[in-house]
Amino acid sequence: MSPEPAPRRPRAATSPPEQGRRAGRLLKKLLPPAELGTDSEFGQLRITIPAGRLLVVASALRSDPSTLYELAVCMTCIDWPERDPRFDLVYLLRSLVHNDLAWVSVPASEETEVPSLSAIYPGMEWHERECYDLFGIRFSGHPNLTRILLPDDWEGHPLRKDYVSFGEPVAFTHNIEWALSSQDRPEYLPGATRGAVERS
Amino acid sequence: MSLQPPPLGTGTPPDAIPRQEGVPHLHPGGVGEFLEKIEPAEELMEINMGPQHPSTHGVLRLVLSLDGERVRDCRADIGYLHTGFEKSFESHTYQQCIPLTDRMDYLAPPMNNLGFALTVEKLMGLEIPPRGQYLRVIVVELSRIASHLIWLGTHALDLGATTVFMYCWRERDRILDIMEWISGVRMMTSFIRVGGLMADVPEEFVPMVRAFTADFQQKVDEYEGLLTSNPIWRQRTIGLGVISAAEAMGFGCSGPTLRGSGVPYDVRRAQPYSSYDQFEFEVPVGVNGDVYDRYLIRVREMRESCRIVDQAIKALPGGPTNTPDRKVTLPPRAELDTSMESLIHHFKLTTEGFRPDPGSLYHAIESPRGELGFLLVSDGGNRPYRCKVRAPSFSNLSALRRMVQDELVADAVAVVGSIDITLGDVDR
Repeated sequence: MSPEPAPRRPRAATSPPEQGRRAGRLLKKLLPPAELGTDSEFGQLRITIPAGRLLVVASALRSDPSTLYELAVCMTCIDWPERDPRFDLVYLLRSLVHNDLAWVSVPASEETEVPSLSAIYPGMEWHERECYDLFGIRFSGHPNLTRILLPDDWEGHPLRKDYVSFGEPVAFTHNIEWALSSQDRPEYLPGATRGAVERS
Repeated sequence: MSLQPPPLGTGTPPDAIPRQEGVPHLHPGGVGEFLEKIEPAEELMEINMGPQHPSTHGVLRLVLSLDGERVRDCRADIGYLHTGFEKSFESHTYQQCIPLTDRMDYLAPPMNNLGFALTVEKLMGLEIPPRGQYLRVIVVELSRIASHLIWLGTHALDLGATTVFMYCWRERDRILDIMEWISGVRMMTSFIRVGGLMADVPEEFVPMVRAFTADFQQKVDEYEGLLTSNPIWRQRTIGLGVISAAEAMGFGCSGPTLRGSGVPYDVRRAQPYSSYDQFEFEVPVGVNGDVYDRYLIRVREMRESCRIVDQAIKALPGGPTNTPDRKVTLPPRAELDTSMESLIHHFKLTTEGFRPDPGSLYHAIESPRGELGFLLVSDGGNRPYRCKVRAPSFSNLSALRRMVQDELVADAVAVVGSIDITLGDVDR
């Protein structure tokens, strides 16, 4: 049987009050349209802003009476190695007064200095340390940017997609491109160099 | 601004948290202000509490800066139980992830199962039949009671009340017996699966649960009789480890830790899932935000969970427990003998699993410790592309530094117990 993808199913109908709509409304007034991206999925408004605007946006979302996103749910990172910029930082903020969840996404590359939100949401301090630990994102203005889950002398950032989690590469016919460098590949396989060198 | 980590063991000096230009400190009495209140003593003594310490409920190291008997600063060093579940998720199919979720919050494993299963089901647009939803509610509410029982027993043990511990384990064992009866395993049940349940419950399940709930309220009376009006207990807990509502929200606290400060936030109420809107229950809320209020809330929550279980058992509908979608659920065993197509489905589901459409979402449930959320990203493959677990203990523990500020070192034990952390949940 070939591993064919399952047929596409219809998405569940979005429940009427879309989450994050209050944040969307506030940020439309606050940011120029070029800097604000919005998208909706599963009844949740996704807001994309540049890293430079993060502090302004977070303090507005937290203190504006129409939003009051006071609960720092979490922040995390999604790695898309083929994309530029590579990372998506996702901030989730909850408003208990309005029963609403804001999803703020910040594209960032390895070099981007993302401002730390720990002065606005003290709870973000640990989440940002976790993000630094596992993804290698640097946060500027962070009070204590050290590894939090892994030992201090750990090398690499394990949740990146190019970090191999375990095992040694073992060469089979289906993964030989990945398991062996072109130097070690048998010459009858594409990408081998040894045979090519001998022939020339 | 230097991003160099301070040398190990020196602690964060009180003035090291920089104020950022243009960003006001928005918490009344928040991080900025409470650090200013610290009077620099001549000499602070740093001691380690843990990682091997009976009152840290796992492997947690607290670096306490002491001024005499007073805690001036507390740094939590976590990660001793870090297992890399989020990385492991990326190399397991969705159904294979369920046993991994068991092992995060190991005091209430069905909660993690449910959180993960609901997230995947929402991603795929699956509907679970009413019987499956009700059985899920019964199982998770029983596990909430079991988790609170462990908390109550160990918390009382930390403060010197040894009898409560024995009583709590007696009741918890009955819940574990029920879990064993329905799933074959006492703790890591993996009973709740994506698409429904592992199997329908055996017929003895309903009488067993009825027998448990029939006298459980009296058992809670017993615990309360030992503690609630006990003068020693009250002296050691009232007014201790206070955190205000605004601070608790800023630190991302949830669950009883947040409700103790007077914020009536319960995910079961705010964003009902798995037919919680059909049950009648109260969300107890504290006033003072101290250790005693958090104690009262959890005890009350056990009673409310018991009520929910009662209602669910009474109204337990018949019918299937799993979604009828054959692209997710395994075909019944009897069909495998006669139907080639069922056999193929069975084979494909167990070897490859299913493939949700690309997309991402965040879904949260109320675990015994607070808001347990899963942020799931699918790229259309049969494994999660990324799965972030928003662990309630992680955020709650980050508020510990605020709670033990200027308390006595002996009371730090009570405060750590009152936020009910599971280190497996903190470190994942």
